[in-house]
Amino acid sequence: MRMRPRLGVAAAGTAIVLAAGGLAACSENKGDTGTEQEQTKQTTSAIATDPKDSQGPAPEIPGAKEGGTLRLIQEADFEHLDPQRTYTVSAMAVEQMFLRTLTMFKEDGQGNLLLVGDIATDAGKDVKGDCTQWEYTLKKGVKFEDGREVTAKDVAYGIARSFEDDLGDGPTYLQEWLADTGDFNTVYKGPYSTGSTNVPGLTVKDDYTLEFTFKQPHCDLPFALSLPTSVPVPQDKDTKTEYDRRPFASGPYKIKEYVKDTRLVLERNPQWDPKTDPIRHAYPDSIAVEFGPDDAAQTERMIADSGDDQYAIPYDGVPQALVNKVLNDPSLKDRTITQPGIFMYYLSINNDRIKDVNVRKAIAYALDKEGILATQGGDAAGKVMHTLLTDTTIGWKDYPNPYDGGPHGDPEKAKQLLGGKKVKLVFLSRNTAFGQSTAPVVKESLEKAGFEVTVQYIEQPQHNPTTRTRGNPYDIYISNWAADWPSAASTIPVLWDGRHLGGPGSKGNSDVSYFNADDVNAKIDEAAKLPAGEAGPKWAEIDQMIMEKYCPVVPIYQTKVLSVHGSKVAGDFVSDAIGTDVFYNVWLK
Amino acid sequence: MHRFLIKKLLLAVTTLLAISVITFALFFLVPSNPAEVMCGNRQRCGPERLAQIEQRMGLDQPAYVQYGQFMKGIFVGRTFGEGAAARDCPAPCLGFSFRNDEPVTAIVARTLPVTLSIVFGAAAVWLLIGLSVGMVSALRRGTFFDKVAVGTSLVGASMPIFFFGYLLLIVLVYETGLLPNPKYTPITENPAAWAGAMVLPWIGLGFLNSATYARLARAQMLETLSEDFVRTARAKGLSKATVYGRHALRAAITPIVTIAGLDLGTYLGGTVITETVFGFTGLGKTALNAALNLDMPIVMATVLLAAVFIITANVLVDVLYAVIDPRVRLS
Repeated sequence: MRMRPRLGVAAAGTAIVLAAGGLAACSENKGDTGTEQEQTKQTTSAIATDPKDSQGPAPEIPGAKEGGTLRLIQEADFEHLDPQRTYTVSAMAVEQMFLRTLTMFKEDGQGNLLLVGDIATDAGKDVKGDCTQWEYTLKKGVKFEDGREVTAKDVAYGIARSFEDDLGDGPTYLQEWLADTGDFNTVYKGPYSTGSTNVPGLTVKDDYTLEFTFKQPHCDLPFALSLPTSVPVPQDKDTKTEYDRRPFASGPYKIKEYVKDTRLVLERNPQWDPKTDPIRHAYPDSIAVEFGPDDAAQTERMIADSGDDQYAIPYDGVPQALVNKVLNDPSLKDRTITQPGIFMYYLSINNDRIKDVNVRKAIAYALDKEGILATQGGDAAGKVMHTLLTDTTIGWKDYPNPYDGGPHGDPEKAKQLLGGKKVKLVFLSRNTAFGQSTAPVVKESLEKAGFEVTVQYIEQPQHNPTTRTRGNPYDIYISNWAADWPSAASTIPVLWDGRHLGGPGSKGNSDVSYFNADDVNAKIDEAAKLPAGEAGPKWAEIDQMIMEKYCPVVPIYQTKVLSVHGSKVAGDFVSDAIGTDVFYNVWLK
Repeated sequence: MHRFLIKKLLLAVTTLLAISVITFALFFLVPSNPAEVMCGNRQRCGPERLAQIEQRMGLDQPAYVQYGQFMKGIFVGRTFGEGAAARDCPAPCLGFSFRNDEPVTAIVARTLPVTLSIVFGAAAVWLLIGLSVGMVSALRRGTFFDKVAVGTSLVGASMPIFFFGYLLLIVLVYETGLLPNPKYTPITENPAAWAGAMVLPWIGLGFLNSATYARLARAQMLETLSEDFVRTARAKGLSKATVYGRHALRAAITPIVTIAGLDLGTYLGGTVITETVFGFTGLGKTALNAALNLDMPIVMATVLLAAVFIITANVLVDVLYAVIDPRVRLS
């Protein structure tokens, strides 16, 4: 297993390097699950400063050829295909093949990320140099599937419709930043509700120029615009909620057929001009997504590798029961991908209820993290962690664990911190396989330290609405998080800036530990004002400060991705930006 | 006969109405606010938004009004919400899934054919194999064939579909490649591909159920063969084919028709495990996902549909019973 630290700032060629691989001393190699592909990868991340990086066409991949049908297999249909409603990585990966965003991460599959302009000519111009005003110039010749050119008005309209409550399932960074409030609908409700397409802070200067003006600095805007919120939508093609069935293509493919829950078929979009596209290759003639087979069936099909499955990439990973079969089969090595994922699991401590920091520290010492990870498949499923950021995050720093209780927790140390107090904890757990397998481990390890733990199970759909309600009657619960782009600015301010919290009874809070500290908030303000290229170490400092001083949460583990694809698929890799397979380099042998 | 039919239909309608009331009550008994679940990813799901969703779903109305609207929607359709946010749900409207953003009827129309394809094909397999093996076993009682058939049916009846289904997949698809991966294609689109995709579920579900039917048919046939009227028919010099095929089979099949009708009705309500094992999204899997996601309009519709199938199957069985055995009409 390899760790991919993203620390330090250096110049490399035409790019500002935000994070570079290195720090070998921090690395750890357990050697039992890693493949050659995983161990040789080294990550760097950057925002392109040279417009040439944003120009097409994407450099040819040696040996790659056009033709064939790439087959993707997923158990459940995508929640949404409407770009402004999309917030699942699997949908984002497929949408990249038929929709374009203002900016996009260009990755090589070896850990090098470069944020470039996709529709835009570059990754953005910080007009005043303080991240409050950004200008984007659109490339000429980027076309929708009907041949009309994509204009700044179409991008602005896409962003405007993302404010609509009815389309309220996608990311909300841009809306909150433009409105300068979490309750952005109090400022603008969207084009259907108001009849106006004028979004506060968003100016269409001409057909090819778009300007964002913020009251607060938002240096991560170039990253945020790589999310599908910035996909252009022509107003006359907007079918409101029905747009989910047939988004209007601007990428190399367009939707040929979409039968909900059954299949999605993409065919070539003849209007796509590779000269405008620095990232996508679009080697296959078509892409067919099949919905239905579960993760076990997907993996068995990949192992069997027969017929069309030789050209397939399964989406749902390898189930725990088949992990050993996959990892121990040498014939699968060349087509197996295993690498750290972007998801993390942590034990949230409700700071509104557990106000004594020593109690929180005692929980951190006592928790059996390895035991929890073991229920999910052990080393193959992830690795235990003690930082607030995953190691895939720009600026991540592996500081010493302030509450190192060993792999299975240290109940004696926890007892010392409790000082003989008998603390009762109510633990809310999901009534799912995950919740039912992890809850006993949490309960047992905490009870060894003298806590009295009552487990209450709740149905999955109710879990997050409950924990995100301030004043909920639970002390601890397991939460998960994946950064929306590989910068701590999409994690620390969202999860740890207590000023975003609503009052008692407020719903939809992301900071489910209900943590709020003035000194941390001040540090967050300082980091937010730094250019993205300099902010990484500052965010890492905040990570360490929060954990060492307040211990508002107990990080448990960071997930790992393990997938196997068909033998005739080449160029498939797991994106460090979105944490799942991406297809713009894929070609079929 | 007409009176008999009317009586059965009235009973069926009454039962359905009672089930619809109980199902609707479920909607209010679940410990969650469906509007909250529908609130999406917004940082704040404030009271205003919640009220908006409740108003659109009709949750702000008293329960009896909601029930009335639901029943009315089945016959004349309805519109959820108003203005730009309005969602049309044409008749027969079984509710609107706000999670999927489409009328439940559309979801049912998409997934029911999958379940129908599985169930009717599998039923043909289990009736054909089950009845023929059972009958032959009875007629050749004590022979090698009978012993093998009884043993095989015992094994078949003991195996759950999640085991046998995966076994079929591993042996026939993954390891040997004898059959293609089951991938649902509508019959209207490509009948050959549809049948090809259905072979495994038909074999899986059909074989397991045929075991039960073989045992049942064998037992019924043996019982019938010992009846006086069979002996009389033989004594009269009728051919074996006439005695077994016309007299004994007709008498033996009556209870099997009852069981088959009930089984068909139950399976049409959803073959969750079969659909999951073979990777199809039919009515059963849809219902399961809806229950897990608390998508109550889909849950209600699928429960109601399952009830309709079972009750309809019951009525059909009663009618068939009356056709096969005239004594039923008299009673």
